Order: sequence, then C-alpha cells, then structure tokens
Amino acid sequence: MSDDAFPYTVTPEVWDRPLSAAMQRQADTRPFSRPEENPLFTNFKYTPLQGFDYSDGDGTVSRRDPSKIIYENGQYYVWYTKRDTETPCLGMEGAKDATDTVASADWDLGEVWYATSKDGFVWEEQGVAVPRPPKPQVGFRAVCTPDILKWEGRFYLYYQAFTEPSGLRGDYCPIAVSHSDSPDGPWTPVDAEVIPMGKEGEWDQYAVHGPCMLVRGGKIYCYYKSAFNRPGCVWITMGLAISDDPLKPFEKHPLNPVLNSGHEVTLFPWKSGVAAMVLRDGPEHYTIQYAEDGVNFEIASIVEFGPNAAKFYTPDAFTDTGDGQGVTWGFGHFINAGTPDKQYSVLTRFDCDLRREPGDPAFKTTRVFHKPEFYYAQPLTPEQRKQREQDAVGG
Amino acid sequence: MSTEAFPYTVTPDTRNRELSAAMKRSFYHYPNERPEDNPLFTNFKYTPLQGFDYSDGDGTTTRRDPSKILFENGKYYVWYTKRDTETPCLGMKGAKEATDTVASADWDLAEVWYATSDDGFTWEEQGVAVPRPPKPQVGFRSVCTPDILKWKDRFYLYYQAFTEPSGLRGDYCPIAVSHSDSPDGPWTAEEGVIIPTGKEGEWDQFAVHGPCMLVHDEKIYCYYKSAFNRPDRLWVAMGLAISDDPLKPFEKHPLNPVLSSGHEVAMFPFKKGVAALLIQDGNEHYTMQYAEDWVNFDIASIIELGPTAAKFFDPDAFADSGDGPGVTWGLCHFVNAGGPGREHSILARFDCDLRRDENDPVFKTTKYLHKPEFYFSHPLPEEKRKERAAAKPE
Repeated sequence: MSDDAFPYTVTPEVWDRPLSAAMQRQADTRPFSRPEENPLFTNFKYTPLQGFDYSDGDGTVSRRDPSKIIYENGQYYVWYTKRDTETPCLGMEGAKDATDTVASADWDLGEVWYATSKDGFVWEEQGVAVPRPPKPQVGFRAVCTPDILKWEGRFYLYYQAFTEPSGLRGDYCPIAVSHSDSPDGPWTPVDAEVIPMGKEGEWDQYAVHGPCMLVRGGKIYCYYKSAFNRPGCVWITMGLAISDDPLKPFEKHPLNPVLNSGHEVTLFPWKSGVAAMVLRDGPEHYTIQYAEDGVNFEIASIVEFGPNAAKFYTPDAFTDTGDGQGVTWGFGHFINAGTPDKQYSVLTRFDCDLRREPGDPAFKTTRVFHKPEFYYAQPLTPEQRKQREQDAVGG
Repeated sequence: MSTEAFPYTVTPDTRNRELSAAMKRSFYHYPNERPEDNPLFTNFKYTPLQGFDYSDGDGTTTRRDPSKILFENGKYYVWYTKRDTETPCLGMKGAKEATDTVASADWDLAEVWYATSDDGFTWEEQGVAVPRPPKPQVGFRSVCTPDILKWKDRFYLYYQAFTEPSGLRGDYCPIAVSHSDSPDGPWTAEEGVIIPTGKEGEWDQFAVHGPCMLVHDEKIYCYYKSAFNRPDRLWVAMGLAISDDPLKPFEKHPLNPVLSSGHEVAMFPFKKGVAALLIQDGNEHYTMQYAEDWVNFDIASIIELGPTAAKFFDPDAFADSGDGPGVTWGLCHFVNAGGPGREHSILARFDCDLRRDENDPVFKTTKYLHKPEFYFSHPLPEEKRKERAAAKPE
C-alpha cells in the first residue's frame, strides 16, 4: 500500500495507486471522470409548446406519447397519441364502463395525429395520420404511442393497436404498422400485427408497447417495452425485435429483456452502439445507458428530472452511419396536466446536451438547486406524520 | 443460447438462464431485484420545522449543516451552524470586504447552536453550544458544520474551525473538537486541531469538512469531505479518519478518498457495514452506497430528490452493534431559502425508509409524478432558445 496520500491534482498516474472501490470505478470511467465532462450526462430544460389546443383543460383532449421527431420537406414532423372524446376518460379502473365513445385510459379511443414546425417550438397540428380502423381490425379500439421509421425512401408508423379498452384485463396490445411515401400521408395500414405479443408464459405475453425504431447494421431495430411478473412486484423492462423488412416479421432477441428498468423507450444511435434513457421503474431508473452491441447495456450516467415518454429529434436514427452523433432535444409528455376527474396529458419540449462534442456547460452541471417549496410539495401523509410523532416518543 | 423466451413470472431459476448485461445486474448486482424491495432504496418526504425564527428571512439569521440527531434525557438533540449577524452575508466572492461583524459565506462568523424536541417535528432552540474561541485559537473566525459523538458516556462535538473568512483563498479549515459530560453542556473546547488538513500536494491539503462520526470495531470513524484538483475540473470526495480516542490524533485511511461523489457526509451503520447517501457532485450522485468493510463502497440504489447536507437520527451510530438496523428520518438544509441580498439557509426535516428489516411501501415507489410547473421552472435560457429555434438541419 502506498505511503503517500491521494494527491490534490489528478494526473494519469493517480490511477496506478491502490484505490478504494469507489475511486476504482472512477478510474474505469476514464476519460470522462466527472459528469461535467461526460457526453452522456445532461441536465434537462423544459419549454411549453405553442400551437396545441387542449379544450381549456377540460379533460376531453389529450396528447401524449410523441414519436421521434424527423426533419423532412424543410420542417419538423412529430406524431403522437391524440384522444378527443366528448367526456374525460374514466381511467383504467373504469374500463368496464367504457363505451364506443367513452374512454377508459387516457390513451383509449386514441388515434395517431401529427404536427409540423419550422423551429421546433411553435407547432401546427395537421390532422390525423392513422385513424382507428373498422372493427374487427387490429387497433379498432385505439391506435396510439407511435414511432416513425424512414426506410428506403418510404415512411412507416409503428404503434400500439388495441382491440379492447385498456384496463379491462390489463393494457394488452401488439404493434401494428401503416406506411406512406410521404410524411404527410396518406397512410396505408397493414391489417395485421407486425410485432405480436409473446407466447403464453413469456415475459411479453400481454403487451408490446412503445416502439422505438432505429436502423442499425442494415436492419430495422424496434426496441419496445413490456411489463411482467404480475401479481408479484411488477417488472417493466425493454426488449428488442429485429427485421430486415419493415412489413415482414420482426425477430425478438434471445437475450430480451435488454434493459432492467425504465418506463419510456427512448434510444438513439451513439458512436458505434445505441444509447438509452431509462427514467422510471426499476433499480436503474434515472440513468443513461450505452450498449456498443445494441443489446448489453451499461450505465453511462445518472440524471435527474428527465422527461417522461421522451423521444428525440434524431437526425441519424435511420442513416445507419455506425457513428451516432447524439441528440439535443425532443418531446416528452406530462400525464398529470389535469385534475383527478379531468385527466389529460400534454406534450412538452425538452432540451438537453447528449452530443459527442464537448458539452455546453449550461446542460452539464450537478449544482442544480430546487426551491424548498418543491421539496415540501413531497410531504408525509397525515397518517405517516401521526405515526412518526407517536413513534418519536421514547426515541 | 436458450431458445425459450424470458418468462412472464420471475422464479428463483430465472437468474440461471442466459441474460443481457442489464438483466444480469438486476439479479446479481443489487441487494434486491426491484427497488420496491430494496432496503437501501427510499423516497424522501419533507416537513418544514416548527420553532426556528429566521428574522423574517432578511438574511441575517441562518441555520444549516445539522449534526446527527441524538435521543438523550427523553428528548431529541440536534446541533447545527447558526449565523446571526447584523447584515446578510456577502457571499464567498465578497470575502475581502468581510469584517469582524460582516460575514463572507453563509457559514462565516458562525457558531454551533443546538435545539431539542419531544417529537422530532417541533423544536426549541436552546442556545449556543460552541461559541467562537478568542483569537488566535483555531475556530476564532467561525465554528460550524458540527457532528456529535457519544463515547464512553461523554459527548464530543466535532466541527469545522476557521481562522479566515471563507472565500479569501478558498474554504480552508481543519476539524476541532469540544467535549462535555452532558448534551446540554457546558462544552470544553480542546485547543488546537483534532483532524488537520493534508500535507501540501495531498487531496485534502486545504480542507477537512463535514465530519460524520460513527463507532465501529471499538474505534471512532470520522468520514469527512474535501475538494481537490482545482483549478481543473473540481472533484468533491469523501475520506475516512480513524482513532481509538476521541481527543487523540485520527489516522487517515490509506485508500482515501473512499467515495468519488457526493456533497454531504451522511453515513449510518447498516448490517455489518456502513451505508452512505450521495446527493450532489460526481458521477455517482443520487445514489445510496454500501461498504461492508466501511471503506470500499458499492452502489446499492439510485434515488431522487434526496436531502442536502443530511444527517440522520441514528440510534445505532455509537452502539458498535455490528448489525446496523438503518434509519428513517433526519434533518437537512436548504441553502436557497432567501432571494438575492438576503441569502440564508433553513433547516428542514426529511423522512425516509432505509430500514433493514421493515419496508413501508409509501417510501418505496418509483411511480410518483412531479407537476408540469416544476419541470417548466427549469426553462431553457432565452439565448439558447433563440439559438436552437434558428438551427436548421443539413
């Protein structure tokens, strides 16, 4: 063991001395030993979007689960779930009372709409891209949570396709697809599942959710989410399905699930691999991860206050360069925009700095302070407080 | 490679199949597969404290950097930094203008005060415990950021002891100590330094900050913080110093620093080892960590909204039981209670569930939501918005 103390100035030789376990992990993250230098560490900044009407927040209009953003014809395009119903949704628990016009979940009776923008901040809703198909086609109950793919000059929208109100048995659905030669449509739906749920007993037997489409190694990668292990402690994890034709069957990866945490399917090409944002649910929530092989992810950073249901503006999502440049902004949603009996969701823009070049310090600080009011907005429940006051007596 | 897909229901056999790297970590790295079951995962809930006066928030009164909380004589005790000056502090940058009555940093010209409580929510300030000693004794400029040790029925307060206004050269100070046979004092200050800053060129050459005192293996463990590598990218890290006598020299551990991240020194005995809360600064911010040998820490969970400068109510801190049961609450501070010109800090209570044997689901959820307004209170700076709105893809 070295007789000298750890030095004040960190030089490359420092890492040759005996190190504690924590400092050894620092050695292993070189050359980015501090989050401020780490291209996969970022702060997030939020901007309300202009151009979307939410019916005065009465709960009848909801927009959520944006797609990746693409740039075509001199403008930005985004697709998303839109619910526009006469009454607010009932919630998952109300599924038995859902009708052909009354929604259970916020995304029940949803359709895939789209909007365009010149600058990414001010948007104009263009209309429906994929409506619900007639019964009994897959998706007749709701089509939602889309993502976009551009492949050999054509456009493909992949989305969740429901045939029952969410909440009836769970949130069960496979993935369906529509395609077009223009991002403005018209879109031709394929009357079939393109990525089916797993077989009975398999982790994704009930749902294939939240597709995130990338092109890698000449193939189409669809990362997706499923939840399992009910009625035990639920696991939410991500899987990968691969195809070499956007309308042909996707093969699920044998090492699925490929992420152990997360509630959003948010990936982008990064260097020769794939990076993922993993924000909620599971032991590795609040992380950004990286897999050089697209399958075996390792934690690259820990982040705070990341966007829910995020998708990025990702110029190299489909260009298959093998040299991903990173991302700087995207869309997320807030599902708690309304009140308990008028629930709806709003889209939001977020900005970040996940680029390979040296970072913008405005997005790379660990010195973020929240006001005391924000902490006090996470109070003990009255019962907890009473219990803890009682427990306090006598130490 | 298995031809069967991963199963819907996780059983003890599931970990034996071929797994992706992430799923391997789920089964083999973390103490439990899901955070909801992880004794070292918690949510944090916050309660404003009753009983402290802050001069209407005019910046002349600050309370910060609480000690661990003790239960003695049928009540709770906490010690903390109190600054009570005629004018608000100038900030670190104003150190050259600091005088004998005008503070530079929020903790300059401070003293160690204490308060007691019957229930942990309502507190009564009792007065000063350790005042600034006369010049030129160490600490004459400021004594602050205390922690408490109980050892063989005597009480010891360890604290930062300044001889210059913070900000003049940096935030340079060693640790000094006072002792008493009662938590109510009177306290006897030991003249001199008990844990000195490191030798020139060593990582802690300028500062030994934020002592956190525990007893392990019949020895006194003092975890502390120092910052190094200026003027390049700053590192904030934690070290460990050990002694077998509270008033004799502490020996710094040869593997220091023992944590690479964090801005608070908040440890507690857990099982055979020690657990640490790391909130700010460094790659491993927002984590709970655990070291069975009290030196080599591993990440046990990732947490959100943790308390700043936390110390716990920790009945086991000095018991040397070798079997730490964990903690459920403590005190912390907010340094941004005031606005510009009236900067000051306030103490707050936090509650959590970091117990080894029990598990309150109210503290173990990953499903909470923050309001949109909170996110929008982290806006894109106007000039960045302009820049980004004007950017056109190739």
